[in-house]
Amino acid sequence: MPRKGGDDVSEPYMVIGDLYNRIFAVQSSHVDLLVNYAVWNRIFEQLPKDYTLPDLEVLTF
Amino acid sequence: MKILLATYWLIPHVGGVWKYMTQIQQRLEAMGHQVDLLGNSPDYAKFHIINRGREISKEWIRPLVVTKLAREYAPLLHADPLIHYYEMDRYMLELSAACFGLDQYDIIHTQDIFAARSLARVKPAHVPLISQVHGSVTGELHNHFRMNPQLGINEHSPAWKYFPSVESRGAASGNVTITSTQWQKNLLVRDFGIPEHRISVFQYGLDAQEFWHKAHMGTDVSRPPDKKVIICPARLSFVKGIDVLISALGILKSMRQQDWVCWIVGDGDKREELWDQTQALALQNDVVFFGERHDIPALLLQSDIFVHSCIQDNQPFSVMEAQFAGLPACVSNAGGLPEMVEHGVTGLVSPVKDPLTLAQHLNTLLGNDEYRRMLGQNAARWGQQHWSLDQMISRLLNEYTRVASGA
Repeated sequence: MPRKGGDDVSEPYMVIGDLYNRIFAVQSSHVDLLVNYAVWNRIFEQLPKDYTLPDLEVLTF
Repeated sequence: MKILLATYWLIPHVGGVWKYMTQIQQRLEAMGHQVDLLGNSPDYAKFHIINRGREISKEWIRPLVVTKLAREYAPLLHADPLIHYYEMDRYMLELSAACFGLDQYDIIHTQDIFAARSLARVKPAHVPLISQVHGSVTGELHNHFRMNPQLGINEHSPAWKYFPSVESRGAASGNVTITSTQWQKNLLVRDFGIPEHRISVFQYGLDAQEFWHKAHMGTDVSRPPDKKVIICPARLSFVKGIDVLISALGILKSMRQQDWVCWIVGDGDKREELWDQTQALALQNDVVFFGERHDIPALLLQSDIFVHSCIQDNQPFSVMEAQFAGLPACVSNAGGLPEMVEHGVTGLVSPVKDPLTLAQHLNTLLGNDEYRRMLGQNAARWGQQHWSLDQMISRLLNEYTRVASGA
Protein backbone atom coordinates (compact mmCIF):
# COMPACT_ATOMS: atom_id res chain seq x y z
CA MET A 1 0.00 0.00 0.00
CA PRO A 2 1.16 3.56 -0.62
CA ARG A 3 2.56 5.23 2.46
CA LYS A 4 4.21 8.46 3.47
CA GLY A 5 7.95 8.66 3.18
CA GLY A 6 8.11 10.41 6.58
CA ASP A 7 6.16 12.37 9.19
CA ASP A 8 6.60 15.70 7.46
CA VAL A 9 3.56 16.25 5.21
CA SER A 10 5.78 18.06 2.68
CA GLU A 11 7.72 14.84 2.14
CA PRO A 12 6.97 13.07 -1.14
CA TYR A 13 4.38 10.34 -1.17
CA MET A 14 6.31 7.08 -1.47
CA VAL A 15 5.19 3.79 -3.01
CA ILE A 16 6.78 0.43 -3.72
CA GLY A 17 8.94 0.60 -6.84
CA ASP A 18 7.68 -2.82 -7.95
CA LEU A 19 4.53 -1.02 -9.17
CA TYR A 20 6.55 0.05 -12.19
CA ASN A 21 8.06 -3.35 -13.01
CA ARG A 22 6.33 -3.36 -16.39
CA ILE A 23 9.03 -1.16 -17.96
CA PHE A 24 11.89 -3.51 -17.06
CA ALA A 25 12.86 -6.37 -19.37
CA VAL A 26 13.54 -8.60 -16.38
CA GLN A 27 10.97 -8.10 -13.64
CA SER A 28 12.29 -8.57 -10.15
CA SER A 29 10.81 -7.90 -6.75
CA HIS A 30 12.27 -5.43 -4.26
CA VAL A 31 9.56 -4.81 -1.70
CA ASP A 32 11.71 -2.50 0.42
CA LEU A 33 12.47 -0.08 -2.37
CA LEU A 34 10.19 2.97 -2.24
CA VAL A 35 9.93 5.64 -4.90
CA ASN A 36 8.34 9.06 -5.27
CA TYR A 37 4.78 8.35 -6.41
CA ALA A 38 4.15 11.70 -8.13
CA VAL A 39 7.31 11.45 -10.22
CA TRP A 40 7.08 7.78 -11.16
CA ASN A 41 3.36 7.81 -11.82
CA ARG A 42 3.81 10.72 -14.20
CA ILE A 43 6.68 8.93 -15.96
CA PHE A 44 4.73 5.69 -16.17
CA GLU A 45 1.69 7.42 -17.69
CA GLN A 46 3.76 9.13 -20.35
CA LEU A 47 5.90 6.20 -21.54
CA PRO A 48 4.95 4.33 -24.72
CA LYS A 49 3.39 0.96 -24.01
CA ASP A 50 6.30 -0.96 -25.56
CA TYR A 51 9.02 0.95 -23.67
CA THR A 52 11.54 -1.28 -21.88
CA LEU A 53 14.81 -0.95 -20.00
CA PRO A 54 17.59 -1.59 -20.76
CA ASP A 55 17.74 -0.55 -24.42
CA LEU A 56 18.65 -4.01 -25.72
CA GLU A 57 18.81 -2.90 -29.33
CA VAL A 58 21.70 -0.54 -28.55
CA LEU A 59 23.37 -3.06 -26.24
CA THR A 60 23.32 -5.95 -28.70
CA PHE A 61 26.36 -5.75 -30.98
CA MET B 1 5.01 25.95 -33.38
CA LYS B 2 6.14 24.65 -30.02
CA ILE B 3 9.63 23.23 -30.37
CA LEU B 4 11.85 21.24 -28.01
CA LEU B 5 15.60 21.53 -28.54
CA ALA B 6 17.17 18.68 -26.60
CA THR B 7 20.69 17.57 -25.83
CA TYR B 8 22.22 14.94 -23.58
CA TRP B 9 25.12 17.32 -22.90
CA LEU B 10 25.24 20.03 -20.26
CA ILE B 11 23.26 23.22 -20.66
CA PRO B 12 24.36 25.91 -20.42
CA HIS B 13 27.92 25.20 -21.48
CA VAL B 14 30.72 26.80 -23.44
CA GLY B 15 30.65 25.33 -26.87
CA GLY B 16 29.06 25.25 -30.25
CA VAL B 17 25.98 23.16 -29.46
CA TRP B 18 24.74 25.52 -26.76
CA LYS B 19 25.41 28.51 -28.97
CA TYR B 20 23.46 26.84 -31.77
CA MET B 21 20.53 26.06 -29.47
CA THR B 22 20.30 29.61 -28.13
CA GLN B 23 20.59 31.09 -31.62
CA ILE B 24 17.62 29.02 -32.75
CA GLN B 25 15.65 29.81 -29.61
CA GLN B 26 16.17 33.57 -29.88
CA ARG B 27 15.38 33.76 -33.58
CA LEU B 28 12.35 31.50 -33.51
CA GLU B 29 10.87 33.13 -30.41
CA ALA B 30 11.27 36.52 -32.08
CA MET B 31 9.14 35.07 -34.89
CA GLY B 32 6.42 33.98 -32.44
CA HIS B 33 7.35 30.33 -31.93
CA GLN B 34 7.87 28.78 -28.50
CA VAL B 35 11.19 27.01 -27.91
CA ASP B 36 12.21 24.94 -24.86
CA LEU B 37 15.79 23.85 -24.09
CA LEU B 38 16.30 20.43 -22.44
CA GLY B 39 19.62 19.03 -21.25
CA ASN B 40 21.81 17.80 -18.43
CA SER B 41 22.47 20.30 -15.65
CA PRO B 42 26.06 21.58 -15.32
CA ASP B 43 26.56 19.46 -12.16
CA TYR B 44 25.03 16.35 -13.81
CA ALA B 45 22.59 16.11 -10.90
CA LYS B 46 19.41 16.60 -12.90
CA PHE B 47 17.86 17.05 -16.30
CA HIS B 48 16.22 20.39 -16.81
CA ILE B 49 14.23 22.50 -19.23
CA ILE B 50 16.36 25.45 -18.45
CA ASN B 51 14.22 28.25 -19.86
CA ARG B 52 11.13 27.05 -17.93
CA GLY B 53 12.89 26.37 -14.62
CA ARG B 54 11.63 22.77 -14.72
CA GLU B 55 13.91 20.01 -13.42
CA ILE B 56 13.96 16.33 -12.51
CA SER B 57 16.57 15.29 -9.98
CA LYS B 58 18.30 12.08 -11.01
CA GLU B 59 18.05 10.97 -7.40
CA TRP B 60 14.27 10.63 -7.85
CA ILE B 61 14.86 8.12 -10.63
CA ARG B 62 18.22 6.48 -10.08
CA PRO B 63 17.52 4.13 -7.12
CA LEU B 64 14.79 2.19 -8.93
CA VAL B 65 16.67 2.03 -12.22
CA VAL B 66 19.92 0.93 -10.55
CA THR B 67 18.15 -1.79 -8.58
CA LYS B 68 16.08 -3.14 -11.46
CA LEU B 69 19.04 -3.06 -13.85
CA ALA B 70 21.54 -4.73 -11.53
CA ARG B 71 24.10 -7.02 -13.12
CA GLU B 72 22.01 -10.18 -12.63
CA TYR B 73 19.05 -8.66 -14.51
CA ALA B 74 20.88 -6.67 -17.23
CA PRO B 75 24.33 -8.22 -17.81
CA LEU B 76 24.92 -6.46 -21.17
CA LEU B 77 24.64 -3.12 -19.41
CA HIS B 78 27.51 -4.11 -17.12
CA ALA B 79 29.89 -5.25 -19.85
CA ASP B 80 32.00 -2.11 -19.30
CA PRO B 81 31.84 0.83 -16.85
CA LEU B 82 31.69 3.30 -19.77
CA ILE B 83 28.65 1.57 -21.25
CA HIS B 84 27.01 1.48 -17.85
CA TYR B 85 27.67 5.18 -17.25
CA TYR B 86 26.35 6.44 -20.57
CA GLU B 87 23.37 4.10 -20.75
CA MET B 88 22.22 4.76 -17.18
CA ASP B 89 22.43 8.50 -17.70
CA ARG B 90 20.65 8.14 -21.02
CA TYR B 91 17.83 6.17 -19.36
CA MET B 92 17.48 8.94 -16.82
CA LEU B 93 17.15 11.39 -19.72
CA GLU B 94 14.43 9.17 -21.21
CA LEU B 95 12.49 8.98 -17.97
CA SER B 96 12.94 12.70 -17.22
CA ALA B 97 11.74 13.64 -20.70
CA ALA B 98 8.68 11.45 -20.25
CA CYS B 99 8.03 13.14 -16.91
CA PHE B 100 8.27 16.61 -18.49
CA GLY B 101 5.78 15.46 -21.13
CA LEU B 102 6.67 15.38 -24.82
CA ASP B 103 3.14 15.45 -26.23
CA GLN B 104 3.04 19.25 -25.81
CA TYR B 105 5.53 19.77 -28.66
CA ASP B 106 5.02 20.07 -32.41
CA ILE B 107 8.66 19.24 -33.15
CA ILE B 108 11.52 17.69 -31.19
CA HIS B 109 14.94 18.67 -32.51
CA THR B 110 17.75 16.72 -30.83
CA GLN B 111 21.37 17.88 -30.86
CA ASP B 112 23.31 14.66 -30.32
CA ILE B 113 23.02 10.92 -30.76
CA PHE B 114 22.26 10.16 -27.10
CA ALA B 115 19.35 12.60 -26.94
CA ALA B 116 18.10 11.42 -30.33
CA ARG B 117 17.99 7.77 -29.34
CA SER B 118 16.51 8.59 -25.94
CA LEU B 119 13.75 10.92 -27.05
CA ALA B 120 12.83 8.69 -30.00
CA ARG B 121 12.18 5.91 -27.47
CA VAL B 122 9.86 7.91 -25.25
CA LYS B 123 8.11 10.44 -27.49
CA PRO B 124 4.51 9.99 -28.60
CA ALA B 125 4.35 8.56 -32.13
CA HIS B 126 2.64 11.65 -33.57
CA VAL B 127 5.40 14.09 -32.50
CA PRO B 128 8.08 14.29 -35.23
CA LEU B 129 11.75 14.20 -34.31
CA ILE B 130 14.66 15.73 -36.17
CA SER B 131 18.06 14.31 -35.28
CA GLN B 132 20.89 16.79 -35.78
CA VAL B 133 24.45 15.46 -35.80
CA HIS B 134 27.14 18.03 -34.96
CA GLY B 135 30.09 15.66 -34.77
CA SER B 136 31.09 12.05 -34.26
CA VAL B 137 31.11 10.74 -30.70
CA THR B 138 32.45 7.44 -32.02
CA GLY B 139 35.31 9.19 -33.80
CA GLU B 140 36.27 11.11 -30.65
CA LEU B 141 36.04 8.11 -28.36
CA HIS B 142 37.89 5.74 -30.69
CA ASN B 143 40.66 8.33 -31.00
CA HIS B 144 40.74 8.57 -27.22
CA PHE B 145 41.01 4.77 -26.86
CA ARG B 146 43.80 4.61 -29.45
CA MET B 147 45.74 7.39 -27.72
CA ASN B 148 45.34 5.75 -24.32
CA PRO B 149 46.23 2.07 -24.73
CA GLN B 150 46.53 1.76 -20.96
CA LEU B 151 42.71 1.78 -20.89
CA GLY B 152 42.81 -1.64 -22.54
CA ILE B 153 39.95 -0.80 -24.93
CA ASN B 154 40.44 -2.07 -28.48
CA GLU B 155 38.32 -3.06 -31.51
CA HIS B 156 37.15 -6.21 -29.74
CA SER B 157 36.07 -4.49 -26.52
CA PRO B 158 32.40 -3.91 -25.68
CA ALA B 159 33.10 -0.21 -25.01
CA TRP B 160 34.59 0.17 -28.51
CA LYS B 161 31.53 -1.42 -30.11
CA TYR B 162 29.01 0.44 -27.98
CA PHE B 163 29.57 3.93 -29.39
CA PRO B 164 28.97 3.06 -33.08
CA SER B 165 25.90 1.11 -31.95
CA VAL B 166 24.35 4.09 -30.19
CA GLU B 167 25.58 6.53 -32.86
CA SER B 168 24.01 4.64 -35.77
CA ARG B 169 20.71 4.30 -33.94
CA GLY B 170 20.74 7.87 -32.65
CA ALA B 171 21.51 9.39 -36.03
CA ALA B 172 18.78 7.30 -37.66
CA SER B 173 16.18 8.21 -35.02
CA GLY B 174 13.12 10.14 -35.95
CA ASN B 175 12.02 11.51 -39.29
CA VAL B 176 15.08 13.23 -40.70
CA THR B 177 18.78 13.74 -39.93
CA ILE B 178 20.40 17.15 -40.30
CA THR B 179 24.08 17.94 -40.44
CA SER B 180 26.07 20.97 -41.50
CA THR B 181 28.80 19.52 -43.73
CA GLN B 182 29.13 17.06 -46.59
CA TRP B 183 31.95 15.47 -44.63
CA GLN B 184 29.59 14.61 -41.76
CA LYS B 185 26.95 13.39 -44.18
CA ASN B 186 29.43 11.09 -45.91
CA LEU B 187 30.54 9.74 -42.54
CA LEU B 188 26.95 9.01 -41.53
CA VAL B 189 26.30 7.16 -44.77
CA ARG B 190 29.60 5.27 -44.91
CA ASP B 191 30.26 4.41 -41.26
CA PHE B 192 26.81 4.35 -39.74
CA GLY B 193 24.62 3.17 -42.58
CA ILE B 194 22.25 6.14 -42.53
CA PRO B 195 20.35 6.26 -45.85
CA GLU B 196 21.58 9.21 -47.90
CA HIS B 197 18.08 10.37 -48.81
CA ARG B 198 17.11 11.05 -45.19
CA ILE B 199 20.05 13.42 -44.50
CA SER B 200 19.68 17.16 -45.08
CA VAL B 201 22.84 19.28 -45.19
CA PHE B 202 22.87 22.98 -44.48
CA GLN B 203 25.50 25.09 -42.83
CA TYR B 204 25.33 26.86 -39.49
CA GLY B 205 24.90 30.61 -39.31
CA LEU B 206 26.42 33.37 -37.25
CA ASP B 207 24.57 36.35 -35.83
CA ALA B 208 26.44 39.22 -37.50
CA GLN B 209 24.77 41.89 -35.36
CA GLU B 210 25.76 40.15 -32.12
CA PHE B 211 29.29 39.50 -33.36
CA TRP B 212 29.90 43.16 -34.27
CA HIS B 213 28.26 44.36 -31.05
CA LYS B 214 30.70 42.23 -29.02
CA ALA B 215 33.59 43.18 -31.26
CA HIS B 216 32.96 46.88 -30.75
CA MET B 217 32.58 46.52 -26.99
CA GLY B 218 36.36 46.09 -27.02
CA THR B 219 38.71 44.23 -24.72
CA ASP B 220 41.16 45.05 -21.98
CA VAL B 221 43.82 43.09 -23.88
CA SER B 222 46.18 45.06 -26.09
CA ARG B 223 48.25 43.58 -28.84
CA PRO B 224 52.01 44.02 -28.53
CA PRO B 225 52.99 47.00 -30.70
CA ASP B 226 55.87 45.31 -32.49
CA LYS B 227 54.47 41.82 -33.06
CA LYS B 228 51.81 40.11 -35.11
CA VAL B 229 49.18 38.12 -33.23
CA ILE B 230 48.33 34.51 -34.01
CA ILE B 231 45.06 33.63 -32.26
CA CYS B 232 43.59 30.24 -31.44
CA PRO B 233 40.25 30.31 -29.60
CA ALA B 234 39.46 26.71 -28.67
CA ARG B 235 38.66 24.37 -25.84
CA LEU B 236 41.88 22.88 -24.47
CA SER B 237 40.87 19.31 -25.22
CA PHE B 238 42.48 16.51 -27.20
CA VAL B 239 40.35 16.87 -30.33
CA LYS B 240 41.24 20.54 -30.74
CA GLY B 241 44.87 19.64 -31.46
CA ILE B 242 46.40 22.59 -29.59
CA ASP B 243 49.50 20.47 -29.03
CA VAL B 244 50.00 20.46 -32.82
CA LEU B 245 49.87 24.26 -32.83
CA ILE B 246 52.40 24.50 -29.99
CA SER B 247 54.75 22.10 -31.81
CA ALA B 248 54.36 24.24 -34.93
CA LEU B 249 55.18 27.36 -32.92
CA GLY B 250 58.33 25.63 -31.68
CA ILE B 251 59.35 25.09 -35.31
CA LEU B 252 58.27 28.61 -36.28
CA LYS B 253 60.55 30.03 -33.62
CA SER B 254 63.53 28.49 -35.41
CA MET B 255 62.34 29.84 -38.77
CA ARG B 256 62.06 33.53 -38.06
CA GLN B 257 62.75 36.33 -35.63
CA GLN B 258 60.36 36.86 -32.74
CA ASP B 259 57.92 39.09 -34.56
CA TRP B 260 54.88 37.17 -33.41
CA VAL B 261 52.96 36.11 -30.33
CA CYS B 262 50.29 33.44 -30.01
CA TRP B 263 47.12 33.92 -27.96
CA ILE B 264 45.39 30.70 -26.92
CA VAL B 265 41.90 31.51 -25.66
CA GLY B 266 39.99 28.76 -23.89
CA ASP B 267 40.19 26.27 -21.07
CA GLY B 268 39.98 22.52 -20.70
CA ASP B 269 41.42 19.32 -19.36
CA LYS B 270 44.65 19.63 -21.38
CA ARG B 271 45.63 22.98 -19.84
CA GLU B 272 48.54 21.74 -17.72
CA GLU B 273 49.85 19.39 -20.39
CA LEU B 274 49.85 22.20 -22.97
CA TRP B 275 51.46 24.58 -20.54
CA ASP B 276 54.23 22.02 -19.91
CA GLN B 277 54.72 21.58 -23.65
CA THR B 278 55.05 25.34 -24.03
CA GLN B 279 57.70 25.45 -21.30
CA ALA B 280 59.59 22.52 -22.79
CA LEU B 281 59.80 24.32 -26.14
CA ALA B 282 60.89 27.56 -24.42
CA LEU B 283 57.81 29.33 -25.76
CA GLN B 284 56.71 30.81 -22.45
CA ASN B 285 57.32 34.36 -23.72
CA ASP B 286 55.68 33.69 -27.06
CA VAL B 287 52.45 31.93 -26.07
CA VAL B 288 49.80 33.45 -23.81
CA PHE B 289 47.11 31.22 -22.29
CA PHE B 290 44.16 33.52 -21.64
CA GLY B 291 41.73 30.91 -20.29
CA GLU B 292 38.06 31.26 -21.04
CA ARG B 293 37.00 34.74 -22.18
CA HIS B 294 33.85 36.37 -23.48
CA ASP B 295 35.46 39.03 -25.64
CA ILE B 296 36.67 36.79 -28.47
CA PRO B 297 35.24 38.97 -31.27
CA ALA B 298 37.22 41.92 -29.90
CA LEU B 299 40.34 39.77 -29.52
CA LEU B 300 39.97 38.63 -33.14
CA LEU B 301 39.98 42.26 -34.26
CA GLN B 302 43.32 42.67 -32.48
CA SER B 303 44.77 39.64 -34.28
CA ASP B 304 46.42 38.91 -37.64
CA ILE B 305 46.15 35.16 -38.17
CA PHE B 306 43.63 32.60 -36.93
CA VAL B 307 44.64 28.97 -36.27
CA HIS B 308 42.53 25.85 -35.78
CA SER B 309 44.77 22.76 -35.84
CA CYS B 310 42.12 20.29 -34.71
CA ILE B 311 42.16 16.51 -34.96
CA GLN B 312 38.44 16.32 -35.63
CA ASP B 313 35.77 18.97 -36.03
CA ASN B 314 32.64 19.48 -38.06
CA GLN B 315 31.97 23.19 -38.59
CA PRO B 316 33.35 25.21 -35.69
CA PHE B 317 31.93 28.64 -34.88
CA SER B 318 35.45 29.87 -34.17
CA VAL B 319 36.33 29.67 -37.88
CA MET B 320 33.16 31.57 -38.83
CA GLU B 321 33.98 34.31 -36.32
CA ALA B 322 37.54 34.58 -37.60
CA GLN B 323 36.21 34.98 -41.13
CA PHE B 324 33.78 37.68 -39.99
CA ALA B 325 36.77 39.45 -38.44
CA GLY B 326 38.65 39.26 -41.75
CA LEU B 327 41.41 36.93 -40.59
CA PRO B 328 43.10 34.37 -42.82
CA ALA B 329 42.72 30.92 -41.27
CA CYS B 330 45.45 28.30 -40.91
CA VAL B 331 43.44 25.14 -40.36
CA SER B 332 43.94 21.40 -40.52
CA ASN B 333 42.06 19.35 -43.08
CA ALA B 334 40.10 17.57 -40.35
CA GLY B 335 36.40 16.94 -40.78
CA GLY B 336 34.44 19.76 -42.37
CA LEU B 337 37.22 22.37 -42.23
CA PRO B 338 38.17 22.13 -45.93
CA GLU B 339 34.54 23.06 -46.69
CA MET B 340 35.05 26.25 -44.65
CA VAL B 341 38.53 27.35 -45.75
CA GLU B 342 39.73 27.29 -49.35
CA HIS B 343 43.47 26.77 -49.52
CA GLY B 344 45.21 29.80 -50.97
CA VAL B 345 41.95 31.78 -51.16
CA THR B 346 40.59 32.29 -47.63
CA GLY B 347 43.43 30.63 -45.70
CA LEU B 348 45.92 27.79 -45.72
CA VAL B 349 45.02 24.15 -45.05
CA SER B 350 47.52 21.66 -43.64
CA PRO B 351 47.21 17.92 -42.98
CA VAL B 352 45.99 16.83 -39.54
CA LYS B 353 48.80 16.52 -36.96
CA ASP B 354 51.37 18.09 -39.29
CA PRO B 355 53.15 20.81 -37.27
CA LEU B 356 55.86 21.38 -39.90
CA THR B 357 53.39 22.33 -42.64
CA LEU B 358 51.43 24.47 -40.19
CA ALA B 359 54.66 26.25 -39.19
CA GLN B 360 55.48 26.86 -42.87
CA HIS B 361 52.00 28.31 -43.43
CA LEU B 362 52.35 30.61 -40.43
CA ASN B 363 55.79 31.66 -41.63
CA THR B 364 54.38 32.46 -45.08
CA LEU B 365 51.61 34.64 -43.68
CA LEU B 366 53.88 36.40 -41.19
CA GLY B 367 56.36 37.14 -43.92
CA ASN B 368 53.98 38.44 -46.56
CA ASP B 369 51.63 41.18 -45.36
CA GLU B 370 49.99 41.65 -48.73
CA TYR B 371 49.16 37.96 -49.13
CA ARG B 372 47.93 37.72 -45.54
CA ARG B 373 45.62 40.70 -45.99
CA MET B 374 44.31 39.39 -49.29
CA LEU B 375 43.36 36.04 -47.76
CA GLY B 376 41.74 37.87 -44.85
CA GLN B 377 39.67 40.07 -47.15
CA ASN B 378 38.56 37.03 -49.14
CA ALA B 379 37.64 35.27 -45.91
CA ALA B 380 35.56 38.24 -44.74
CA ARG B 381 33.71 38.45 -48.04
CA TRP B 382 33.02 34.73 -48.19
CA GLY B 383 32.06 34.55 -44.50
CA GLN B 384 29.49 37.32 -44.74
CA GLN B 385 27.78 35.58 -47.63
CA HIS B 386 28.05 32.03 -46.40
CA TRP B 387 27.31 32.23 -42.67
CA SER B 388 24.00 34.06 -42.83
CA LEU B 389 21.96 33.24 -39.74
CA ASP B 390 18.75 34.31 -41.47
CA GLN B 391 19.38 31.73 -44.16
CA MET B 392 20.08 28.99 -41.63
CA ILE B 393 16.91 29.74 -39.67
CA SER B 394 14.87 29.85 -42.85
CA ARG B 395 16.18 26.43 -43.93
CA LEU B 396 15.55 25.00 -40.48
CA LEU B 397 11.99 26.29 -40.39
CA ASN B 398 11.34 24.79 -43.81
CA GLU B 399 12.58 21.46 -42.43
CA TYR B 400 10.36 21.78 -39.33
CA THR B 401 7.34 22.60 -41.49
CA ARG B 402 8.02 19.76 -43.91
CA VAL B 403 8.47 17.19 -41.16
CA ALA B 404 5.50 18.45 -39.14
CA SER B 405 3.26 18.20 -42.18
CA GLY B 406 4.28 14.58 -42.63
CA ALA B 407 5.92 15.18 -46.01
